[in-house]
Amino acid sequence: MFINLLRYSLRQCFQSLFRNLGLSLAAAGVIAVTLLVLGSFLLVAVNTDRLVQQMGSEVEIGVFLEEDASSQEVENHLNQLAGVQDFSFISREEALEMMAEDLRDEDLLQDIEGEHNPLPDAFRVQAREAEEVPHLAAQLEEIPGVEEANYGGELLEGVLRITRWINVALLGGGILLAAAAVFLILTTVRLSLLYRSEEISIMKYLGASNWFVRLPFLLEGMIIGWSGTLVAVILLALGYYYLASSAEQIEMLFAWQPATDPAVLYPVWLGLLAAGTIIGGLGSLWSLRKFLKV
Amino acid sequence: MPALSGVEMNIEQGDFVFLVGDSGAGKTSLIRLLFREVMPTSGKVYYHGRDTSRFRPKELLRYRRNIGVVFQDFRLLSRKTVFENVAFTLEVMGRSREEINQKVPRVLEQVGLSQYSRVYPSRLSGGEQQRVGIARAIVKDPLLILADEPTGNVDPNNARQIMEMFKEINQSGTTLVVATHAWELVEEMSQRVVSLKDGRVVNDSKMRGALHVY
Repeated sequence: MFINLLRYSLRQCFQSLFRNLGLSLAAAGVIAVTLLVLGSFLLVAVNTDRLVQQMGSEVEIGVFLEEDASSQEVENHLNQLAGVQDFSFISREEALEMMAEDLRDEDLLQDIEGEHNPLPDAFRVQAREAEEVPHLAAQLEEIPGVEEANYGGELLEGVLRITRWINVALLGGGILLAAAAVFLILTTVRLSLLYRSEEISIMKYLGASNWFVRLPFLLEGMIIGWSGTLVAVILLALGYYYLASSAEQIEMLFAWQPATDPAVLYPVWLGLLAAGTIIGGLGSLWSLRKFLKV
Repeated sequence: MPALSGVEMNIEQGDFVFLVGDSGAGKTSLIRLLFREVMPTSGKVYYHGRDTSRFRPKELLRYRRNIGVVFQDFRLLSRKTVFENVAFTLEVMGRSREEINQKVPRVLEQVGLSQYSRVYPSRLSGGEQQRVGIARAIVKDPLLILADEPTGNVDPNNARQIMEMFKEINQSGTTLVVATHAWELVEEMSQRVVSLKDGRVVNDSKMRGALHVY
């Protein structure tokens, strides 16, 4: 019985899709465009998140020690701080060598070597999360024997603030677009229902159950939603991988590279497909409510 | 003013009942009550002792599946072929493809439309369309057929054929309730006749039965 119903519903749904091909394509197209934009938002969000993660792992806090401080004691403190991912010790001698190398000034080494070396001992500390850096720096300055903890603060804070705004804007835009997509499916299915209202009233006369009336429309909405989203996902993936591969050849700010990891991207593609299909199905069911009161 | 008042009648399994009367006499209202398309504002319709207005959705579904309806305006689906229109009844009831492919041609043959099975209804005459309507009603082997002015849009020759068809269907045990104002045909058929006037029963040629309307 259920198999018969399913078989009948599938046949009905494809018949209706092809008989109203123009409308079906228009609806699928609208969903494709909507989800294309929605998907782009999602990709921007994935990448800003990745950028922040990257910056977090790259931003180092320079912890400079007081002259008579014991590096061992400071190290013990660092081991206890939860926000610390990793750290390394740089003695004042090493620091001087690095500076000379950076400045390409061999003479400098000879001039201020040994007791003349003005540089302090230091630790380079990496934070677990980029967002934690300002807070962690403040904590580090509390450690006895630490003179100063420094992290190029303004730049990081600026980036964090911008990504926070971007995420809020994307979330808002995404919700609006999803609502628009639902509304459009609703309208499409309602049009197709009006077109078939005679059929539905006859169905009820012949003794059709509510699910018998609903199922073809439900499938129709889901197929429209799914196929529209599929087009969007294919276009989005092609465009994104193209951009990502050309970005690899360009040196970018913060050495940023777009996310190409399947573990990050596959959930985006599959999530979009599921969302499109569910939106299509729900739109159908919603439009059907008042047609079933016979 | 109510469409019907003081109507009291019994219809028994196997009856063939004509509801006659002028337009507005209440024939259609009575048919709609019997199908439970509308509910009475007062009074009851009983089916085998059960008050139809108290049917649960599943019972109503089962009740309607035992009833074939024939409309004056045919109500065929214009986007389906003759075969598909008749098959639709069985599809609605969740019957298998095999059963449909076996039953529909047999019923189309019974109403003399085998050659039109792939044709769309708009290509058929009124009489032919009504025969599709009858095929659609009988294909599910209903216990009861309700027909509302089935010959209203059909020429006299076809009308007579349709009535003969009803007679055959009735002889196989199906109960028929036919609303019509085609007096001559009713007289020729010599079946039970219930006359309605201004929503009241003014004459019933025979009173007995299992379907009660009070």
